[in-house]
Amino acid sequence: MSRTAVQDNIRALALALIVLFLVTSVGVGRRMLLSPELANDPQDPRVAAVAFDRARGPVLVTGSFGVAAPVRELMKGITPERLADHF
Amino acid sequence: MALADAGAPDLSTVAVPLAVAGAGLALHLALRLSGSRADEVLLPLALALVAIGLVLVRRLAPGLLPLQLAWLAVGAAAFVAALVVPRDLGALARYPYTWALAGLALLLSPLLPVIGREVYGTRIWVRLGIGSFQPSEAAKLALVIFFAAYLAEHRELIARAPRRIGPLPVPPLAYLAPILVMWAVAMLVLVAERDLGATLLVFGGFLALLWLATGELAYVAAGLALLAAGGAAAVALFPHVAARVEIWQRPFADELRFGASYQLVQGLFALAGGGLFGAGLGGGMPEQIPVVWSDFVFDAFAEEAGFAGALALLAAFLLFAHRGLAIALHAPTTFLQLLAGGLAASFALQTLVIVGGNAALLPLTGITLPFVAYGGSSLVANFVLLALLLRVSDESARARAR
Repeated sequence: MSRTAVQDNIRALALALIVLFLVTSVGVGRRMLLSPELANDPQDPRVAAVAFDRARGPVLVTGSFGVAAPVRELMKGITPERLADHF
Repeated sequence: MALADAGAPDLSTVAVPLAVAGAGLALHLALRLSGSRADEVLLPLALALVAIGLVLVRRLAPGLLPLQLAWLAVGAAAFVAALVVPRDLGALARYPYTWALAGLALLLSPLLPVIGREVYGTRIWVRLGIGSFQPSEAAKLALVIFFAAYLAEHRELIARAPRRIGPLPVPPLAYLAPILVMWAVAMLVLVAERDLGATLLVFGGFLALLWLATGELAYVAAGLALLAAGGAAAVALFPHVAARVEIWQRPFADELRFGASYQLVQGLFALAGGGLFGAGLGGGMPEQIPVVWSDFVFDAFAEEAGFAGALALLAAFLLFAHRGLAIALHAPTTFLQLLAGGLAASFALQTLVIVGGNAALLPLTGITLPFVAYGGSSLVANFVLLALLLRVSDESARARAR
C-alpha cells in the first residue's frame, strides 16, 4: 500500500467525522428547538420557576382594601391600584 | 458608585482571564523557544476551549475553580514536557508492546482492589496518594501510540491478507490476535468497569486506525458487528449494562425519571430550555443537573448560549479534529500519519460520545468534554495529545523544508 492510499483513508475518515458531527448537531438541534413537550414539561424546574414568577396582583389588606404588597403591572394597562378600584 | 454597590471585586473574576492569558503566553513561548514550525491554529483553539471550560467551572462550581486552575498548570507543564521528550518522535514506534502493556494496565487499573474506586456506579477511577485520576484518559494516548506503531509495521500483511471469507480479509492469526485482544478488553471494560465511554473510545479509536492503515471497510464493519454483538450479549447477561441502556431509551419513564435517569432528564430539560440563542450566561438553571460541571457541561453551555452557541462549540471541536487530520495528511512517515490521525480521531470520538450522551443520542458515559469539562486527568491528557499533534506538524514542516 502506497503512502497515497493512507492519505486517501485520512480524507475518507475526515468526511465520516464531518457527517457524524452533522448528525450530532441535528440531534442536539432537535432536542433544543423541536421538542416543545420537553420545554413545557411541568416537572422542569424552569417551567415551575416561570409559573412562580408570574405577577399575581397586589396583596390586599381586607377591610380597608389597602395594598400591603404592590406588584408590577399585572396585565397590559391594569395596575394594582386600578384593580383595587374594582372592589 | 456602581463599584461601591458591587463591593470588593471577586478574585475569581480576574483569575480566569489571567490564567488563560498566562497559559497561552507560556505555551506560545515554549513553542517558539523550541523552534517549532507547527500548526498555528490548534493551540489558540485549545486555549479558547479551556477558557470556555474555566468560565463554566466558575459559573457552575466556583469551589472547584482553584483546583481546575492548578490542573491547567499541570497540563501546561505536561504540554511542554511532551514538546521536548522524546527528542525524536519516531522513537515512540520502537516500543509498541511497551505502549500496549502500559495502555492495558492503565485501562484495567480501576479493577484493582485497593486503588480502584467506584464512583456513581462506574469503576473508572484510581486513587493514588492524595489524589484520584481517571486512567482511561492516559490509556487512550498509550493505545493510540501502540496501534499506530503496530499498524505502521504490519499494515501490508493485514491489508493484503492471503485468505478471504466472503468480503472479509482474514490475516494470519498472529496479526489478527491484537484485534481480538482489543475487542476482548473493550468488552471487559464495558462489563467490569461499567464504562461505556472508555469502551467506545478505545475500540472506536482502534477501528479508525485500522481503517487509516488498511483502507479495508470490511474490517471496520466486522469490528462494529463484534462490538454490537458483544454489547447485545452484555445487555442480556448483565443487569447493570441493561439498566444503562434502559435509562438511555426511556429516561422519562415514571420509575426512572426521579431515580436512575434523573441526571439525564435534567440535562434534557436544560437543552430544551436553551432555544435558539439561550438564556444568557448566568440566566439559565443548569445547576439543577447533578454533577453538571463534569458530566453535563455541554448541556449547561447549550442552555445559556442556545443552539447557536452549541453549534459554534461543536464547530470548534470539529475544527480541532480537522486540523489534526490535516497534520496527519502531510506527516512524513506512515507512523506519524497514523499517530496524528489516531489522536485526531480519538479526540473527535470523545467529543461525539459525550455530546451524544448529553443529548440522549447515545447511552450516557463517564468521559468528559475535552478541554471544557471539569477534570484534571482529561485536561492533562488532552494537552499531551495537543503537544503530540504539534510535534507531528513540526516534523512535517521540517521535512518539507529539507
